[in-house]
Order: sequence, then C-alpha cells, then structure tokens
Amino acid sequence: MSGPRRERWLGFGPVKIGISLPFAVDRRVFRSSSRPVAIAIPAEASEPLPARRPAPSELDRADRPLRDRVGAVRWFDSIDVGDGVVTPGVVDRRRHVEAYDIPPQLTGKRCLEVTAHDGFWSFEMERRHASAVVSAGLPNGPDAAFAIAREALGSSVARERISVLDLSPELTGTFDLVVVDGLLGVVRDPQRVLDRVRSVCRGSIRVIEAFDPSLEGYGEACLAGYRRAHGGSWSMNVNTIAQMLRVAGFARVTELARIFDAARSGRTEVVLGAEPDESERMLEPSKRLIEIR
Amino acid sequence: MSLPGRRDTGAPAAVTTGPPGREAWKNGRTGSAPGQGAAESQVDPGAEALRAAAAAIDWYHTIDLGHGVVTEGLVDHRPQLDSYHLPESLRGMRCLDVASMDGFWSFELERRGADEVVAIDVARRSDLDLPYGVREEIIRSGQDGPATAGFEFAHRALESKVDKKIVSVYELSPERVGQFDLVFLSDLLLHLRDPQTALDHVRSVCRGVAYVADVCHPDLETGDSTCLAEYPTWVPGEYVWWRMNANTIGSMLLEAGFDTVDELSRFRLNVPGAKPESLPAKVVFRASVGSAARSAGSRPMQAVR
Repeated sequence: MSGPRRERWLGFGPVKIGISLPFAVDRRVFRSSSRPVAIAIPAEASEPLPARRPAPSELDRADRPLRDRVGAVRWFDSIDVGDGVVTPGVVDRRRHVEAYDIPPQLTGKRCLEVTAHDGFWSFEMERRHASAVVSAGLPNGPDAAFAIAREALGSSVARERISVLDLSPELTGTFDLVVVDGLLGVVRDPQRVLDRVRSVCRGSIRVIEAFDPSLEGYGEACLAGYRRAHGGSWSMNVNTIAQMLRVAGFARVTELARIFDAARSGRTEVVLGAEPDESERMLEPSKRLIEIR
Repeated sequence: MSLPGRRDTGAPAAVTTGPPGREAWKNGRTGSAPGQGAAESQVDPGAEALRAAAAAIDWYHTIDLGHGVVTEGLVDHRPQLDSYHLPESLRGMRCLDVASMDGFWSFELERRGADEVVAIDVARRSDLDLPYGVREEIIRSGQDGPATAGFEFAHRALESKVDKKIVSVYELSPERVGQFDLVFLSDLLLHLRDPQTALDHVRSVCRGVAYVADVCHPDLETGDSTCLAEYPTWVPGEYVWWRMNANTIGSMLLEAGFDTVDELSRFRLNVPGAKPESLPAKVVFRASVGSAARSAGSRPMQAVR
C-alpha cells in the first residue's frame, strides 16, 4: 500500500461537521496501470424476433422449440443459449468479451454477478469453470428470461433474489470475483452499492458502467451530473467511479477498457478492475488526530 | 450536568464582564489577575464559572450564552443572519432544526418566537455517514463519542425549551416527529452520501416552508441549468461526500416534492480566523409546500467567487 493511500484514511480527529476546509482538496490522480482498450461497437440490428409470439401459457412448456421460448420473453442480455439461438438482448457483451478481463480459468473460484439481468456474466463465469456462481437478480425483477437461458445451457448457476444493499458476508458469503454491470449509474447512492459489494469481495471486481463523456477532460476532477429526470441518479465521469471504488476499500483500480456502443444510442462505458485493499486502512489512534483548524 | 453559570459558586470574581461577543470571550479566557480589573464592582458572579465551563467544550457554533459569554465556535453565523431571510417572527409555528449540532439555529428559531422547536441530530460520531470500514474502526479504536459537544450545555445556559431528539435525517417521518411549518437545514447535505433521500425525508415532515442553506461549489457554476457535483477525495478529519453546485441542490428540492424553490442568497460562510479564499460558499433556498408555495421575494442568483 502506498503512502498517500494511508493518508486518505487518517481518521476521526476533531471532526467539524458542517464545514469543509480547505476548499481546495488534494485530488487524487487516477492512473491506469495498463493501457485501456478503446472499443467501438457499431449499430446493427439484433437478431430478428420470431414472427409469432406464443401465448404466455405456452412458455413453460419445455417441449416448445427453444427459439420460440426465447422469442416469447424480453431479453436484456444477448446470450448464446445453444442450438444456434442467441437471445435478442439490448446489450451484447459477447462481442469484445476479452476486454472485460475475466480470467479464462475460474476453476475453484466462487463468483457473483450483482443485479444480474438475464445472467450473461453468470453463465460466462460458469463457462470458464467457476466452481460456484451466484446470480443476484433484483428482488422484484423478471426471472423468466434467466430461467430459459439457465435451462437451455444446463447451467447450475444459483439465482438469488436479493437487493445489492443486503449483500453481506453473513448472508451470501464472500466471492473471488464480482461483476457489477450497469448498476451504479441508475441508483441514488452508488457508493453504498460499492460498499456492500466490497463487503463480500475477497478477490477482484469488474465494474462496467456508463460514464458521461461531457465530464471527461477536466484533469483529475471527480465530476458527476445530477439527473433529476432519472430518479436522482448520477451520471459520473470515469474518475468518480474509480474514486468510489477506492472509497469503498478497493485498491489497484485499473481502467481496462472504454466502450462506445452505437447500438445503445452512443452509450459510453468504462470497464474498471480492482481488488480489495486488505492492508490496514487507518493508522494507530495517536497518529490519526488531525487538526483542521 | 449542573451548569456552573446558574449557581452561585461563591468564588471571588476575577474577570470583568464585558459586552457580549467574541472579544469579551477572548478577554475572559485569557483572564486577568484579581484586582487588575477596572470594573470589579460590575462583576457577574456566574459569568466566570459559565465561561470556564464553556471553554472546556469544543464548540462548532458561536452562541451567545448570556452573561457576556459567547462560545468560541468554529463558525459564527450571527453576522450573517440576514442572509438567511428567516421570518422575523415565528409565532404560531412549529419548527424543526435538522442536524442541530450545538443548536445555534434551534435557539435562533426559539428566539424568534416559534411556538415549538424540535432539534434533531445523530447521537454518536459513528452514526454519521462514514466511508466503508471507518465506522467499525472508530468504534474498535475507542474514538467514538457524542456527535455534539455543546447542545445540552447551551440549552441549559439559555434555559431553552427546544425539544432535542436523537433522529437521523434519514429517519425523519411524520410518524416519528410529526409535521412542521418551518424546517431549517444548514451545512448538512455535503456530509451526506445520499442527499436526495435525505431531502425526501425532510419534505415528508414539512407542511410549510423549508430553509435549506448548504455549501455549494462556485467552480461548478456553469451559468445555465446544469446540475454538477464533485465527488471529493477525502481530507483527513472531515467527511464530505458531494460538493454540489446550486442548481443541483435546487433540483433535489424539487425532486423531493417541494412545490416551489426560491434561491434567497449566496455568500461565504463566516469562519473566524480562516483564510478568505478557503471559506466555503453557501447558497440559501426556500422551498415551499402547498399553500405556502408562492414565489415570494425570489432574488436573482448571485455569483460567489
């Protein structure tokens, strides 16, 4: 652990609530340890839907052709479910899947996909021989698409309906690899999400998140736009997302890729990797007292 | 706690009682030898004990406790009261001071004649919005303690009837505390990880107007309606989550459900002894609900540089 890292956690001196001094803060430089990959995804039509949608009553019938069952539900993830069928998701992570730096071999690893939509990352980690995969879906989210993919793939991924804010070592255990895809930008308190994820992460994390390109190019500043039209969520620049990872107790934050997705209205995403900071995060009490007056 | 200022200590008075204010307080603290005071005959026997007891507290607010004793707070709101545009009389109103700290604003609301003033704050340092792992570390290392140093002391000294409750802003609800004609909130949002949710709770207990006076970030003012915030790196000893521009705070108030939001003023917070360039910029909003929602006296935005 570096020196500056320690200083950040110098702790609870004579805290003066309600004031911020000095106004000019020691901003932390966000540096990638490796050159990030720039990826442009062209806009192209996703797989066409079947001409006829079966009635809902037909969906559960396992003897329906896979293509019909896939076509009967809405998909978020594009997943290759075999037999030449790829689910018509709005997000296709299959292309450039190497950019996310998921280890090719996850043998013996316990993995978690947080707020999994249809389970793309869960199935991907299972495909890479993870010994156990938990797919944490929204408590009230749809599960039909996930169930179809899971069955078609003969997967043993465990689907848990759990809020990310309820993640805890006691409830879910800890994980060697956690994937958080497209969540931080749609919640009011993204830091709290990362704090909870940190509590169950013992290995490494991949964060795939939209960033606001209009807030890039301001040096080290961690900037975010408040979005009242989106429920009070934040559109963050890359620095902010990286900083939130550090505040949550992750170290070695690395930018792995930036993605420009023309197929999703030019959405720009960043892929960040990080590992839990297991070193002592605060100095002994006598050295922690910092006068700010 | 027995308040020294309210009893006759019988000790010889050593310090003259000067006029209320910072200078008087400083003079009293440094003390002068017995017999040196030019006006011994004017000594207030309770003042020195009150002053001595107050000096043992690490004050955040500068509060005039009477007897010529003024607490040496980190911030002094007194010269800037007019910038908050509070009603001169609060008679007939039930008022709430959110995150009251040492209680300056609670006592000010009471002084203006509010029928009832409720002050809420968290109990312990560990109850604040803290970064991951810090809460546990504070508790483990024995650094936890009361979040507020001086409220009870000032409450007794002023013989205040303010009703102090241990309630987090995130816990505010009509069921818990009832509703209020006036809610006052100052310098809190920047210390909250989720200011929008906090304002939602403030709105839930407001049936009239809310005065929200918080630190804003002049460097993020764009001159239009852009809502920007900076996510800061940590400065040791302080926990600031968001540095927002004024538009962001105003938009959050609207999102929380207030019907009208008027910006009243911008200024630099008065921090005695601090460098002018380091003084936080503040913006004051008045947000109104229902029948109280009329855009009265809205002032044009002022740039703070």
